[in-house]
Amino acid sequence: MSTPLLQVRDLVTEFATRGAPVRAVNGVSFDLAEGEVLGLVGESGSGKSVTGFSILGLIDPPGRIASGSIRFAGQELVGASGEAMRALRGHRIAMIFQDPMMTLNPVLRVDTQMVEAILAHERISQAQALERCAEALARVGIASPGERLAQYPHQFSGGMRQRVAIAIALLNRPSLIIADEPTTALDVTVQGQILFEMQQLVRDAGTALIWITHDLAVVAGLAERIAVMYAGRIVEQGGVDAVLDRPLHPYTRGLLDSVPANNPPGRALRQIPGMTPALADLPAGCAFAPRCAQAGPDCQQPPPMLRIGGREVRCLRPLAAEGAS
Amino acid sequence: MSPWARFRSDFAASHLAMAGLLMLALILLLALVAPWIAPQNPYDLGKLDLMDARLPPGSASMDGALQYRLGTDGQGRDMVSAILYGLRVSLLVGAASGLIAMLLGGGLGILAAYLGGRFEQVLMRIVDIQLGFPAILVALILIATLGKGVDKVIIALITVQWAYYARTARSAALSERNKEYMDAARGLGLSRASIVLRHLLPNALPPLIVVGTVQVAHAIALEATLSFLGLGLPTTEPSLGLLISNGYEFMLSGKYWISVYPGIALLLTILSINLVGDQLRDVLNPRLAR
Repeated sequence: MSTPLLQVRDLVTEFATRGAPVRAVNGVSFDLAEGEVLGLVGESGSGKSVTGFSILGLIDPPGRIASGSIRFAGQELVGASGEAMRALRGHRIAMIFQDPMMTLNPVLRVDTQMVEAILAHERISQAQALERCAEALARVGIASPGERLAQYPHQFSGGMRQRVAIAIALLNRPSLIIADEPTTALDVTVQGQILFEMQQLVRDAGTALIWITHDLAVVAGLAERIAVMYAGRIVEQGGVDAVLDRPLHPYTRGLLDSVPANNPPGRALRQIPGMTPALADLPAGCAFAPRCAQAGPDCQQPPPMLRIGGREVRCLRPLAAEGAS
Repeated sequence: MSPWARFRSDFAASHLAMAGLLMLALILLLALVAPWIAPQNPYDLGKLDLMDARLPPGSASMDGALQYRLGTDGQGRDMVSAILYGLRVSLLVGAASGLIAMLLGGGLGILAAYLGGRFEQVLMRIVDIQLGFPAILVALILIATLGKGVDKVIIALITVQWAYYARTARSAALSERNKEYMDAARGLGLSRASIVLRHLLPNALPPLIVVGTVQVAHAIALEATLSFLGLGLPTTEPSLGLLISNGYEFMLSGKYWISVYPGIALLLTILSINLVGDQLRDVLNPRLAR
């Protein structure tokens, strides 16, 4: 097997506080092949966004990458110089952010912002850059891109702005796009359109995609592989169908059961008891143990990552998986 | 509609502010063309005739060549000319010190917000200390040390004012810095300079402009105060404050015009700037955005 495009190993990202540093990301490892789509799933505060920001080198003090390794196309990103990271960002690795109303600079015209994104990485003429911007807008389904380019962000609707943000991400033909809940703030219908278009675009361009979300339905339709995060750790990862059909980790099971569509109508919705633990005050063993129906005394030990049939699960008492060897 | 067109129509919504803007434009115009429209050069001591001193408004000069519409001061200066030239000095001092203080303080404040760390800590503590002193006291001490002159007054006013701009710029830039488009700009791999100058600065500018207009009015008033106290500008080139001060001693002997007319000019100048500044604040305030 060829080396993957992105290789994250034992990534630890800490944030300094008054007390001990808080580990927002605590030993995350995963691979991403070229053109592969990975769904990174978890609740708020599970460390999924921080993982994305760590890859881009956008962790600001008091946060820092404490240890681990991120290799992108053979290049080590942890400890890379600011200039090296700047050259990668927006060029080889692009990011799409959560709130489309906030990701475009309100005082600059759309063409100004798009041209700037190209010229930060390439020496081409203004006219050539503009032409590429118009193409990019057309590609994400924006009608009359020539006119739209001359407008300001406030003249675009939410869905349109997210399309512009996606167009900007695609401008420099990156090998990897990290999308941080880009459809969460949109209407369901618009969300569906954007997901479909996004899928087409990355498939056509052969771009790898990390889609960060808390919405399992989105991942089911979009991703090939899924990694479920809980309290800064990946607790389960594998092929999307396998994980969603036959979850091995009790937390994944709980997440799936919490989706209203998976509940019998007319009955109280099932939920995971308790609350996500504070990262500053994690239980000694498995972080999920206090909320877990399967938990036993052995769960006071930190659980190892088990490999079961091409999947990984961080649990001492994984759920029985039919069909998994 | 571009942001600029929207800003203009928002601003024009208030008649009072438009009146203020018109008045301010008129005052600026008068100050600009003063050498051509003033009946007399009030700074040319050779042209002044002591025999014409303290004439009431409407009197003719002894040689009959001039009519003093607003009277004359203690040196026989035509008050109309003195006020026009005084406006020039006051506006120049106010605008120059305001602009330089805005560039200096605003730049430092935005840099502090962007860089953070020790630089921000030290700068903001200096600002705190500076703002703890009354502005007039700092200005008085500086003028006493530096001596008289327009340049010295401008330096003193910059020293007094930069801290206001620094504090405003920092807080504006801090709130902008945490917005997602700043992360997005970094995510695009833009250089630091372009992030600060093209993304952070324009978005942090509105509150700075508001503080700027208010501070220019402050600076003009402060310069007038310094001149009134006999510090600051040389007596041969009177600003509005100095004219008021010169007329002060004659107030009780019924010669009101030497103080009152420059006072009205000063009042109208500051009023028009404040009217414009108030409307700017309302229009540029995101909380009141329509």
